[in-house]
Amino acid sequence: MFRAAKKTASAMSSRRRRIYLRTFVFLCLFLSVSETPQHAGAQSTPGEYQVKAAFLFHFAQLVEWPVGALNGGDAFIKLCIFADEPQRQELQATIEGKTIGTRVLHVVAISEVQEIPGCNAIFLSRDQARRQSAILRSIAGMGILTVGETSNFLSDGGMIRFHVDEGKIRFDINLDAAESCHLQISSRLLLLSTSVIRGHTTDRGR
Amino acid sequence: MGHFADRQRADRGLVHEGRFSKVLAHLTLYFRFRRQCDRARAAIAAPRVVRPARMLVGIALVLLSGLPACASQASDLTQKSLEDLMSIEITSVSKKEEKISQAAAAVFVISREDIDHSGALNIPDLLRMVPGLDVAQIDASNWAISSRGFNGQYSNKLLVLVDGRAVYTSIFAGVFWDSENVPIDSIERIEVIRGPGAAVWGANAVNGVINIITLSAADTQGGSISAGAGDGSVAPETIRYGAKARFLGAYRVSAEGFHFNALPTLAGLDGEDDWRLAHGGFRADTALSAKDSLTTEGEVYGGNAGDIAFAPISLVPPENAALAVRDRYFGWNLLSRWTHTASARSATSLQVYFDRTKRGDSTGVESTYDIGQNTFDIDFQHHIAWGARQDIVWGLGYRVSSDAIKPTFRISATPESRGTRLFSSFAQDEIAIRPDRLHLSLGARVEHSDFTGFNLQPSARLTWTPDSKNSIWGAVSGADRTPARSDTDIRVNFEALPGPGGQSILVSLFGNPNQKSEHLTAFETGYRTSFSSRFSVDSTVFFNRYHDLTSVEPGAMRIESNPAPVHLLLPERFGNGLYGETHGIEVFANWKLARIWTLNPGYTFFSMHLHPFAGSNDTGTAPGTEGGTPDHQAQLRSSVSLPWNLQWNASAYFVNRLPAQSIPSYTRMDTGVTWRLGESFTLGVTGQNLSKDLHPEYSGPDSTVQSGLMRRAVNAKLSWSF
Repeated sequence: MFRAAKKTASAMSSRRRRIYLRTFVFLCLFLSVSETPQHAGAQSTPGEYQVKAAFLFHFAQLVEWPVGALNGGDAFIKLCIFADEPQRQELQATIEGKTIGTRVLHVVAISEVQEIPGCNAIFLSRDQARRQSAILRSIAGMGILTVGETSNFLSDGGMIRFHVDEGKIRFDINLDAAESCHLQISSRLLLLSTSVIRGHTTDRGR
Repeated sequence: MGHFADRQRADRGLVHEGRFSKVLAHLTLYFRFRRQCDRARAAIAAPRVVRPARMLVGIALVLLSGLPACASQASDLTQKSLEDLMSIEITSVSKKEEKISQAAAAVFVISREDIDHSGALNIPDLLRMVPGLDVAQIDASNWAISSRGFNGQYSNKLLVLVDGRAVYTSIFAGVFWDSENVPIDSIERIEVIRGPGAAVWGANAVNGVINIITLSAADTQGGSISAGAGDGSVAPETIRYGAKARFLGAYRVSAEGFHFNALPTLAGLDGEDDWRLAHGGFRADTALSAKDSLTTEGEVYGGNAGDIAFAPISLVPPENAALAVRDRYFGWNLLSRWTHTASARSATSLQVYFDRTKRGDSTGVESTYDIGQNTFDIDFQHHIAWGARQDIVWGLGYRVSSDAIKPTFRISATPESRGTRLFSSFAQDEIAIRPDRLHLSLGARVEHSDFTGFNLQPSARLTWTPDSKNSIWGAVSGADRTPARSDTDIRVNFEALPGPGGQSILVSLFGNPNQKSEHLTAFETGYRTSFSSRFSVDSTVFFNRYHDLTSVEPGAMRIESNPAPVHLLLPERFGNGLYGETHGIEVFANWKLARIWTLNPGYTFFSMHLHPFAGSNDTGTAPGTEGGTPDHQAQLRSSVSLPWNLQWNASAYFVNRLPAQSIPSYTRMDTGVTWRLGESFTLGVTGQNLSKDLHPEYSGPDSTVQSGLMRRAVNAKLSWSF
């Protein structure tokens, strides 16, 4: 009898727990929906670095590295990011492990210049402004695609620079820098860019 | 269980500490709750035990604090085409904040670049470049700064904020510019709003808001040392170091010190007003998660400045004396702000700060004033985009300050020490009636102050942007200047005169416990146009109506025996006996003459008419206030980028005379050259007041220090960053 009672009690408490849990999950869902009442059930607006990550994914797709330059017999594209914690998280969560054709995009957070060898592309976030020119100088000619976001990124020798225009992300390309590393940037990317630096002149795009 | 202990501690008293720990408990619980949400998601597949009690408290707290949690995951963005990605708007919250201030209002922003090129040594010098602002230096360490009239050393209709902390002293609702000295190397930008901002910013934002925003710690990484010297100063010597720590994130610490030499008085004598200040500060920006950030900053300062004060010292002859006093001040403050960005459409922030100020003067024997004040402020804000067209910001705030005004022969207060509370709530809704074309912004703030009870400050603003080159806005708003301790509780013994029969006559100003708020109704309209990408003009016209302005009402002479000996008292008392109108025009332009050369001309016209209400016997305040603001001000700034990393800036400011103070009109010319030597060295040479040596800028009757003459000065500054 005691046993039975105990059993009922534990069944009760586990049922109660489940009810609590359900209420809780329901509340979570309710809250996540109520955050954006106008889009009930729809996704919320993505963060800046989630969108930038998606851009990086496309860049990796539309840039061609010299044969043999990529890792593991051209099976991996290693994207290294110099960024602070929240940006790093957003970037990694959005594109880590995505496949580009037969290649896998591998996103690694690094903080020292010594960790760069082996990277195929690097992203320098805004908060790395101070050491940006030093980093870019140290990897000149190494065949690494460089993407950044400070105003002097291209003049420091970087290849693709993000900027924000009326809340929307745009990018500029320094074709000279890319070509000196034997990186082929697809014409589609060049067409979509705001401006292209080529032969020390700037072409205004869109 | 940590929050439990905090609760108990809070119940036992120690309001400040208790509240702060409550906030901390809030934070811990919130994060615990978020972790639980994640766990619960996983538990849908495999149910797991979640402690109900803890969880419910978490839910309740999260609901109470209006913080949405468990944000939905965005869908896979990599599936979108580049074109689609390029059409996504990534409005970050900070941009929204800028938008609030840049909405239909007269706004001017001093950028980091402007600061670098200006060669200014302190914030008031920087503020001179803002068209429509009236900046006048009184002596080496004191300024009168205001917009749209009512200027004075104790201007009380202007709100000044440093990173969200109101830097006014609630004893007199004004700013001590000599002690509020954020190192200008650490400022990211200064936003100046002319006209009322009370609906969003709160009481005292009657005629303007100055919002000083410092650089984030991430932008000040590495070390920087700068030293300056000149014939007017040894100033400022700054050392700053920023780095990153594992759990703290980016941080910086800085120290600054300076010494400005004394200026001559209006009579040409030594003003003995040399000014020294030492300032230390820190800021840390910690990313708690991808969506939560915590900013913690604090400063501590101490300084002193000399003055020759003419003050009554006794009721037996000689009654008055010129005292060589030294003003000493000391203070510290600590601010913490937690920002949670739930999505690009919803963000909340919770801010707490504590501020301690203490100041007084002394000759070594006597003191004319001695005040101290503690302020604690907590502020919650929620910014949410509602539907496709509405953008709502609302918030709640609570401020408590306690002060102590130690009685001196000159200044005393009843009660000597007092705590005052201010509750506030505000909401503003920006409605896109036609997106990108017509925007309406409606806002209101309700405040409850211990002095005046409830007051409502509404505002309605409309912007019409017919095309990308033109924008027209109009606004109607109400704002209040709530009375401060200096209006209600204070007694100031102005002067003692020899009277009949050997008795002295003491002239004293008394606070009025029934003092009401000063009220403004403002009508503004503005037009911004860019004729080309090289030339743009911003103009504003305003008409302000003031009610219940502070007056000084003379009373009947009577005999007073305390303080001894028995003497005649000529009392004056604050009242709300004035009303009036002001109107004006503010125009400025940005003209890029060439790629390397930018010109900024500006012009301000201002006119004020004040009248006494029937029953008011104040005849002095109206003409003094009317004639205390220049009717015409004009400026021309030029900025040229030269080869070899040289930058040359020059500015000329014309300020018309102040008839009430016998200050003649003057043109002030400043120029500066900065030279960037490689990546780590910058050399700057600045000349101030080049056109005319020794001119006065302000000598108002409200000023409690002797006015000085501004001197021609050259200053050089070398900065090294590593």
